[in-house]
Amino acid sequence: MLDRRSFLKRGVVVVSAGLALPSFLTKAVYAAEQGGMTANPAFANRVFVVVQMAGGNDGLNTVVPYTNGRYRDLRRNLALAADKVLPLDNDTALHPSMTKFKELYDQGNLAVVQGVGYPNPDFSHFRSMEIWQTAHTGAPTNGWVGRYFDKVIDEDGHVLDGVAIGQSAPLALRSGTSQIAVVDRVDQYQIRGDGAFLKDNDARIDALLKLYQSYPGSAPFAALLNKMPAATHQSSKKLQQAAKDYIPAVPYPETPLGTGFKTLAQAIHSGLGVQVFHIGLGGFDTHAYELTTQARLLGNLSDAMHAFYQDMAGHGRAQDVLLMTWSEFGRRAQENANNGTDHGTAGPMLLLGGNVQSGLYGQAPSLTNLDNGNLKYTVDFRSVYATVLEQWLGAPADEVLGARYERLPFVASALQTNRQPQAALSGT
Amino acid sequence: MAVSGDVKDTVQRIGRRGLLGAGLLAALSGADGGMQLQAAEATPNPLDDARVRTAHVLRRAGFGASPAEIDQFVAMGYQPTVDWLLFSEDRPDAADALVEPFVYDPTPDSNPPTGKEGKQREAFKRWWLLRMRYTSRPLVEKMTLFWHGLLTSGFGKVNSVPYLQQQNELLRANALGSYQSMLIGVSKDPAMLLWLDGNNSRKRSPNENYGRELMELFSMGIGNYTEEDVKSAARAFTGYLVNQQTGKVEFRPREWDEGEKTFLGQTGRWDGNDIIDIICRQRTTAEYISKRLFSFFAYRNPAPATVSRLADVFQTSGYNIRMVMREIFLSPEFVSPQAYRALVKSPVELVVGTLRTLDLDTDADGLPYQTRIMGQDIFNPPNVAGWPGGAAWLSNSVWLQRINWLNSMVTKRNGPEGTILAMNEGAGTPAGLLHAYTRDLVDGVLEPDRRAAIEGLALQGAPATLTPQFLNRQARHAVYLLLASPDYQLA
Repeated sequence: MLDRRSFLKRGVVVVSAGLALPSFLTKAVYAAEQGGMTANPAFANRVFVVVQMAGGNDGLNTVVPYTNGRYRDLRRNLALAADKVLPLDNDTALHPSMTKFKELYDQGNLAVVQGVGYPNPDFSHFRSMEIWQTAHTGAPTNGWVGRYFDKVIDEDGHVLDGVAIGQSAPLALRSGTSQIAVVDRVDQYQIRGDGAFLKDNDARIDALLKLYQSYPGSAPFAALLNKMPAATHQSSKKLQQAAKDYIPAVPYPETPLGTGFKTLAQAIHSGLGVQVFHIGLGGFDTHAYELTTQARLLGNLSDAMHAFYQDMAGHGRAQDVLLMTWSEFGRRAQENANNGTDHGTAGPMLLLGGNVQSGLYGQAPSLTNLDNGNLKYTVDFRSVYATVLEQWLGAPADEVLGARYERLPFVASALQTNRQPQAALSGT
Repeated sequence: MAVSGDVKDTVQRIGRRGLLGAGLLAALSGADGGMQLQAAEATPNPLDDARVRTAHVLRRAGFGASPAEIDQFVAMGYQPTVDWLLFSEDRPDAADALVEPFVYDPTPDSNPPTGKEGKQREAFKRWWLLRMRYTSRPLVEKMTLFWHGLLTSGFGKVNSVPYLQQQNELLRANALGSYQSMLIGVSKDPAMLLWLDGNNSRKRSPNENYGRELMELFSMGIGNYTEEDVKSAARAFTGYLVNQQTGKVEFRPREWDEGEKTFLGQTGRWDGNDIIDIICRQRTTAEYISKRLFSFFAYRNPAPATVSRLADVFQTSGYNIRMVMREIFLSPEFVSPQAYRALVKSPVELVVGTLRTLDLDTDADGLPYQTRIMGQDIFNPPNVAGWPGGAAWLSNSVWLQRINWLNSMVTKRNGPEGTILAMNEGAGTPAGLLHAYTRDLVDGVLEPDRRAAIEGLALQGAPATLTPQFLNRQARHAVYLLLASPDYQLA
C-alpha cells in the first residue's frame, strides 16, 4: 500500500535513481542506509493522536507525590488520600479515578512524563496554549504538527493531513497548506442533499463538483476551489461508510469524549490514510471546587482513552497507535481559598500505545524550590514533541521544531530496533 | 484588435444574458489555442457592466443587496452609490427601527445555573447579525466588522458581554472617523484592557502585551520598532485600569509611569496618547492601515503604488478613514478585473449577505451557531490577530457547513424557499427563470460550460412555461447549485 507514511522507502528509491531530495529526506535516507533500514510495514500504519486537556490541568493531583509531606502542607483541602491514590512507586501515584490508566501502566503501555513545561511560563490560557501548539515562545507561527505536514511529501495525494474532533482546526495541526477535517459529528461531515428529492442527490452533487472543478484556473483561490470539494466529498464518503461498517472491539463510554474517540477509530479504519488526529476535553480550569470536577474529567479521559486503546488492540493495531496528552499549564502548587487552584506552570504528559515503554520520565518538580509559588519545570515539552516526531513519525524533529531538544526514551525498545535509523540519527 | 473586441462584447453578453449555447463559448474562449490567446488578451472585465459593478460595491461596502435594491442603485449611478454608502450617518438607520436594542441583564444566574450568561452572549451576537441584516448604513456595519477583526477582543479573555458591547459601540462610532481617535478610544476600552492585559499592567511591572500589539497589529506592522519601543510604550500606557465594580475605566495617576521614555527616537514624559500621536506620524502606519483596508475591501496584495496613494490620503486628511474608503471605492483598482471575486466571503458576509440578497426576514435564531461552525464566532476571534480569512474560509469542514447552510435555505420545510422561488415569478419560462437567478445570485457572470452544468440538472425535461412542479424541483436544484457554487462563495 502506497501512502505518505512510506515516504522514507520511496526516498531510498529516488536516491538510487540519483535525484536530488529535500534535505530532510536525504538525512532520513542517509540514516536509513546507515542503519540498514528496510521497509517497515508497521511504520506505514502509524497513527499519532494528540489529546488536549484544555483549561490547565492540575498536575499535582493527576500524578500525585502522595508520600511527600510538603504536598499535604500545600494542599490542606485538596490533597488526595494516600490510601485512595493508585501508586506507581513509593513516591508517585495516579489520581484515584484513573484506574484504567493504572491498568495500562501496569500492562506496560503508559508513560508518564513529569514536570513538563517551558522557560518563562505564561499564565494566560490563550497564550500558553499558543506556545504549546506552535512549540514556539516567540512570535506566532504555524502549529508544530502543521510544520511537520509541510515537510512531508505526499506522493499519492491523500485528501487529508489530519482529522480533528471538535469544531475548529486546532492550531497545532494548522499550516498554510495542511488540510484538516474537523469532524464534530460524522453525520455533519457530508454534503447535504434535498430531502424532498433524494434520488436526484448524486446528480446534484456531481453538478456541484463540476462547478468547482471547472472554476477558471487563473482566478484567485482557484487552486483550492478546483480540488477541495471533490476531496472533501471523497473523505466524507469514506467516513460515512466507516461509521456504518465499523464494529468497535469494545464498547466506548457514552460521553462526548467516548463518542469522539469512537469517531477517531472509525476515521483510522476508513482508509483515508490520515496519520495525525486531534481530540480534546475541556473544563480543567479548576479555580474552585476542584476535587469533584477534576475527578470526573480525569475518569472520563482515562476511560475513553482506555476504550480507544483496547479497540485498537482488538483490531490488531495496538502497536500502531501513540496517544499524547497535553495541557497548557499545570496549576499553582498551593491551593487557593476556594478549594481550587490558580493558573500555574509545569504538569505531566501521558503517552499511551503498544510501543510505549511504561515508566516515569523526567523529574517530579520540587515542592520546596518554587518560583513565586509555581513548580519549576524539569522537562521541556518540546523534548516530548521531538521524541514523537523523530522516533514515532520518522520526521526531522530539529528542523520542525527549529532547535534541538533532548529525546526521552519512552518509545519502546522493540520499536527502537526497528527504528534504528532514527535512533542513530538522534545520537548525532 | 477587432477580434478581441468582438470576443469581449460577446462574453459580456453571455455574462449578462446567458442565452448563448455552450458550443459558441467553446469557439470563443475554449480549446483552440489561438482563440484562447486572443480571448485572454481581451480579458473581459465583468465590472465594466454597471449592474455587476453596483452589485460588487454593495457586497464589498456592505452585505449585498436584493435584485430590486440593485436596480435602484444602478439607476442612481456608481459614484452616488459610493457616496450613499459613505455618508449615511445623517439619515435614520432602519436597523434602529427594526432591531430591538440589546440590553444585558446583570443579575447573577440562579442556583442551579440556567446557562443565562451563555444565552445572553448568544442574544448579543444575534443582535449584531440582525443589525447587519437590516441596516440602511451597510458600510458602517461592514467597517465595524472590519475593525472587530483588526482591533479585536473576545469572550475568551474578556468574559463580559457589557465590555464587548461597549467595544462594539466604540468601533461603530469611529468606524469612518479618525483612526487616531479610534486608537485612543481603543487604548482606554475595558474589553481591550482585559484582552491585551493593560489591566494587569502596573507602574512597577508594565505589561507589554498592548504596547506590542498596538504596533504589530494596529498600526505599523512588525519590523518597524524595537523591543525598547515596546517597553517604552508599555510604560506610557500604564495607569488605565478597569473598575470591575462600575465597569468603567479609571485613570489612576499613581499607577502611571510618568518618567521619561524614548519611543521611536523621541524622548519625553509620554503617556498613551503621546505614543499614539507619534505612531500616527509614521508613514508606515498610514501604509499599514491602508493596506489592511484595501486588502479587506478590494483584493489582497495591492501594489505598493496603490498603498502609497491611499497612505497619502490618510496622512493629508488627518487619518480620516472615510476619505481613504472613498479613495478605495472610486479607485480604478477597485473596479479592475483583479478585484472581481478576489475575496472569500467570511461566514458573516455569507450568512447576512444571503439573507439580504434573497430579502429573507430572520430573527437570527441559530445564526451565531452557523457562523461559528463556519469558522467565525463573532466576539470570539481565534487570537489577537482576528480571523485569518481567505483560504481559511474554504477549508473542507467549514466549506461543508457553508454549503449545507445554503442548502437548508433552499430545502428546509417551512423555510424561506417559497420566498426564494417567488423572487422571479415573472420570468415566464424555466430558461428565463434560470437566467434571472444567475443574474441575481452570481451577477450573471458564469462561464457557459459551467452554466450548462446547472442547466443539465434543472432544465432536463422542463416544461415550456413555469409550473409549480418545476419550481419545486428543478428550480430549487438550480438555486442550490448557484448558492453553493464557488462563484457565490467569493465576494
